[in-house]
Amino acid sequence: MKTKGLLSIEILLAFAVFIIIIISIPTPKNHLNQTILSNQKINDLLIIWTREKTNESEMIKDADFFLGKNSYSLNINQTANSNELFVFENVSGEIISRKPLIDTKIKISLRKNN
Amino acid sequence: MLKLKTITTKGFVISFDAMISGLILLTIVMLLFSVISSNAIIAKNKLNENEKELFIFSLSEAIIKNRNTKQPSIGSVYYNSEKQRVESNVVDLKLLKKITPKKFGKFYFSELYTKTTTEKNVFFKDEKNNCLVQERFIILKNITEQKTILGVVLCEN
Repeated sequence: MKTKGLLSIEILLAFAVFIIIIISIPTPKNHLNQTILSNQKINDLLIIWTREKTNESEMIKDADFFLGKNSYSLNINQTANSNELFVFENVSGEIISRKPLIDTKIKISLRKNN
Repeated sequence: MLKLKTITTKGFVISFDAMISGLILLTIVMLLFSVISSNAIIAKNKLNENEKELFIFSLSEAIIKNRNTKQPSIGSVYYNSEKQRVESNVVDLKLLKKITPKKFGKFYFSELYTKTTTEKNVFFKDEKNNCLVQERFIILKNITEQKTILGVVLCEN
């Protein structure tokens, strides 16, 4: 077998390993679109909830309908609903609804892969 | 008479080992090129998909944030005459009904619908290929107000 030179087995193996390494480098995924989509969903809900007085049960009903059950976390004046137990993506929106006499702090976060 | 060993290890122009090595090298290079070209095709498709996603985000955002009575497909928001301003996410049913399928360069606005827990109302539907759907949460303003999901479908021309 040829042991020295440009086409030696060693150099071919080294070349093959080099190519495998190049091919196996993962390409970065685009998370930007997912974040935009999540932000739009959150903003839609917050805009509508603050437009008129909305109570907690109505908020949960809206969020279940629009986002799907168990896919979000909702905090109203720091009181979390049961969905808080899940691990959430770092996409969340918070707003203070200023209605006469009462300020309501609403925070909603979306679960990963939503 | 020549020995077989002599023929296989050393040839007139190129040795047998060198030929095998050359073939291996060519195969590796071919594989590399095929992987690169398939990656390029995937990247091109992703880019196109990405462009479509960004466009549908903009289109749905325009419909529920702007008001354009001449072209409601880029703005159908309700105008509150008491407050003298348009209201984000409050969509005027009259304008929504005026929207028709429309070309936007290489994309095609092919379907528009509203959906509540009980019913789905399709304003228009013109089926095409490779479509994307985005749903927005809105208040549909007619004589009364109703919370509903607005679905926008964008396809490739």
